[in-house]
Order: sequence, then structure tokens, then C-alpha cells
Amino acid sequence: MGEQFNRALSQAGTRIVDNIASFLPGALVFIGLLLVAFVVALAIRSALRRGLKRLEFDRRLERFGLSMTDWTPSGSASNLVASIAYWTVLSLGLLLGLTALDATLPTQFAVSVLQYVPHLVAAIMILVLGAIVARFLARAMLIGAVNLGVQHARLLSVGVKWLVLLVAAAMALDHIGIGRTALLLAFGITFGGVVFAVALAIGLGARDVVGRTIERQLREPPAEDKLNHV
Amino acid sequence: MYPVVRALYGVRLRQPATAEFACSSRFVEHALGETLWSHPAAQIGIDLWLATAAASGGFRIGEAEVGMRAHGLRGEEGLDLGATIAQFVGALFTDLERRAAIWQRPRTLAAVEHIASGTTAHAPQPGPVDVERLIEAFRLGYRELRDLWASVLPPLTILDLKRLVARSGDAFAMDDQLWARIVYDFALGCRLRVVAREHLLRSLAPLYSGWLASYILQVRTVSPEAVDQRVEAIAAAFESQKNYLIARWRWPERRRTG
Repeated sequence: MGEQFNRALSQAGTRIVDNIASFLPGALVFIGLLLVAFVVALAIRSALRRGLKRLEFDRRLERFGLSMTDWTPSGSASNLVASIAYWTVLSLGLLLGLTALDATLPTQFAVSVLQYVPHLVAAIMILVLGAIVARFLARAMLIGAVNLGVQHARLLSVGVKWLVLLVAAAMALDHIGIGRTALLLAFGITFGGVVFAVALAIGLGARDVVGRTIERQLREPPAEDKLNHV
Repeated sequence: MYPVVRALYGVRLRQPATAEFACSSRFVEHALGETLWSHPAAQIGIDLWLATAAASGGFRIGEAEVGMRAHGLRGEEGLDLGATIAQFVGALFTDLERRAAIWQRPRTLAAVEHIASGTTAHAPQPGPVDVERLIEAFRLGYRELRDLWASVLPPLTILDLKRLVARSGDAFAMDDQLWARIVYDFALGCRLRVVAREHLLRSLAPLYSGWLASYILQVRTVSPEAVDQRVEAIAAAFESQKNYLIARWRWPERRRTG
């Protein structure tokens, strides 16, 4: 009895030691990968900050109508890009570290997340591009409307900006497969509803004004100042 | 165009962007050597660019009055004020960027020979202009585009514009020095690509409307001679602000202050 107990104890001890021995290298690799990822992430963040500053990245983005003042607390696109790169590298290091542990569940999780990364990157690119286009078009709309003397130019500009942002967000979410059908349906209903509401508002509220304007446009040329600006 | 060309190139050419001109074979050779022909804005800017090529190349320039001319349209028909300004002022600013090394040199004002053409120039008949509408366009621009302007105009200029917005009627007068600084700051903004070039140029339209309203209020009841004096005063303001442009052109990092 005592001998059996000792053997079982010894086998249990051996199993524990074996498990620790097989787990320890993986854990060490995990910690090592994390440390390497941390150092690489720090280096990349620092290099990106310096490189983008030298390239005047913030000013160039502003030129394309994408100021970061509304998007990040620091108001700097360079800082945002550097931070995104830092966390991406750190996350990748963590996921690679998990695969080194040789545990089935974390490994499956890591592999599925890694497979998802390209879609996520594409979605972020769509969002960034959408934001650039939205800001550019909003500004163009604002200036055009002001030059035409439209009193609610800002409202039109904000409308265009959010419309483009919504389209970009819908496309990005569709790309990463979140609520695909519900999202498309919701977007279709909202967009259709807005267009319908505007059509109704103009049709019912400003029917006479629109009618008179079209009539005037068809009958007589618009009154203009007799000025040659050139 | 006249005040800027006079201030930067030192020539009293009242119509620098005229489409009809004669030139020597030496100037033809000089102009053919310029890189302006293939520029995308050449169709609109070529008249002005040839004049500035002559002025900056040290050629003798003369000007003849040939009366009112109707020029052929070159793609600018049906354009609104913003687009017209974007085309013509854009051409002027492109020229400034290209000849920066030349106009930054100190130069004395050279007289332009006035050639008797035998044709009596008829003064253009003043047409009806709604000044109040121009002022309203300026006020709307200030309200909606102030933030955009602030990316190229210094805070003091924005403050001056704010004061101008509050004025009405005959008290609405834009200072010549202020207008000169605004034009120069926009030229600098285009050079530095602070905002998309087309946006920046189009956003100049309400400011131009404000200046135009101010100018019309000042000259609508005065004699043609007094109008000429007024134009000369504006040109003198552009000349006196030239150092401002040169300083900001050379040290653009100081553009947000002052």
C-alpha cells in the first residue's frame, strides 16, 4: 500500500516536473518575445515620430484637408500613426508569444487573430481614406456654398462630411464582417429616409419657392453685377 | 494684378495680363526659353507670365491704349467669382513661386513707355453694382471661412477683419495695407501648401468681395483722375508691404505670428 502510494507520488511528481520542464521553455520564449516586441515597438514608435516630423507629415495631411485636431488629444497625426504602430507591434508580439506557449486554446486564438489582421488593416485604411475624403469634400462644399451666398453653408458642409464618414464606416465594418446585413439594412434605411425627408421637406415646405426659382431660371438670366473682375 | 506686378517687378504696367501685344524677336527667343509653356495653368496665365517674363528679364516695356477690347474666352465662361479668382490669382501666385529669386531683389520703379496709338480709349461706363451684396458676401465668408483663413492669415489680420465686419455703410473701408498683406499671405499660403491650393484660392473670393465693396464705396462718386490716384495708392500699399512678403517668404515659420 505504502509502496503504491510512493510510486503514485513519484509519478505525479515526475509528471509535474515534466510539465514544468516542457512549459518553462515556452514561457521563457513568451517572455523573451514580449520583451523583444516591446523594444521593437519602442524603436519603431520613436523612428516613426522622428521620420514623420522630418517629412512634415502633419502639415502634408492638413494640406489634404485632414487635420488631426478633432481626432486625437495631441492633435498630431504623426503621434497617432506612431502610437498605432507601437500597439500593433506589441499586440503581434503578444500573439506570437502565445503560440510559443504551445497551448491549444491560446494558439488557436492567436492564429485566428493573425488571420483577421489584414481585414482590420484594410478597414482602418478605408476609414482613414474616408476621413480624408470627408474633410476635403466638406471644405470644398463650405467654400463653394459661401461663394454662392448660401447662408447655411456650414450645415451643408457638415452634412457632406458625415455622409461620407458614414459610408466609409459602413464599408469598413462590412469589410471586417461586423453586422454585415444589419448594417447595410440600417444604412440603406437611414440614407433613404434622409433623402425622402429632404424631398418631402422641399416638396411640401418650399414648393412655391422652388417653382418660382425654376420659373425664373427658365425665363430670364440671373441679375449680375456689371463687373469684369479680371 | 497691377499692384502686385508693380510692387514685385517694379514696372508701372496698368494691364499686365493683356492678350494683345507685340514684341521683339529677342523677347520671342527669351520667352521660348522659359518653362512656362507646358504648365497646366498656361492657358489662363500665359498673358501675365509673358508680361512678368519681360519685366524680370530687363526688357523695355511699353503700353498703348487701344480702347475697350472684348477678349476671347479661354475656358473661363460661366465661372463663378471663386473659380475666376482661383484661375487668375492662381496664375499670379504660380508666377511668384517661379520668380521668387528675381522679385526678392531690390529694384527701383521703372517707368513704362506710353505709346500713342491714335485710338481714343473710352473709359468703361460704370454698371450697377450691389455693394450691400458684396459686403454681405464678405460677412458670410468671415463667419464661415474664418477658421480656414486663420491657417494663412496672422491673428492681427483676423482681428482687423473682425473690426471690418462690424462696420456698415460708408464706414465700410478696407485698409490698403491690410488688403496687401492678405494677398501676400495667401500667396505664401499657396507656396507652403497650408491648405489645398484650390480651396485656399477660392476662399479668397469673399475677401475680394469685401475689398471690392470698400473700393467701390471710395470711388463711385469721384472723378476719373481721383480713381487713378486711388489705384496708385493701392499700388503704393503693395509696394510698402513687399518687405513683409519677402520676410515671410524667407522665414515662413514666423507666419502665424504678428
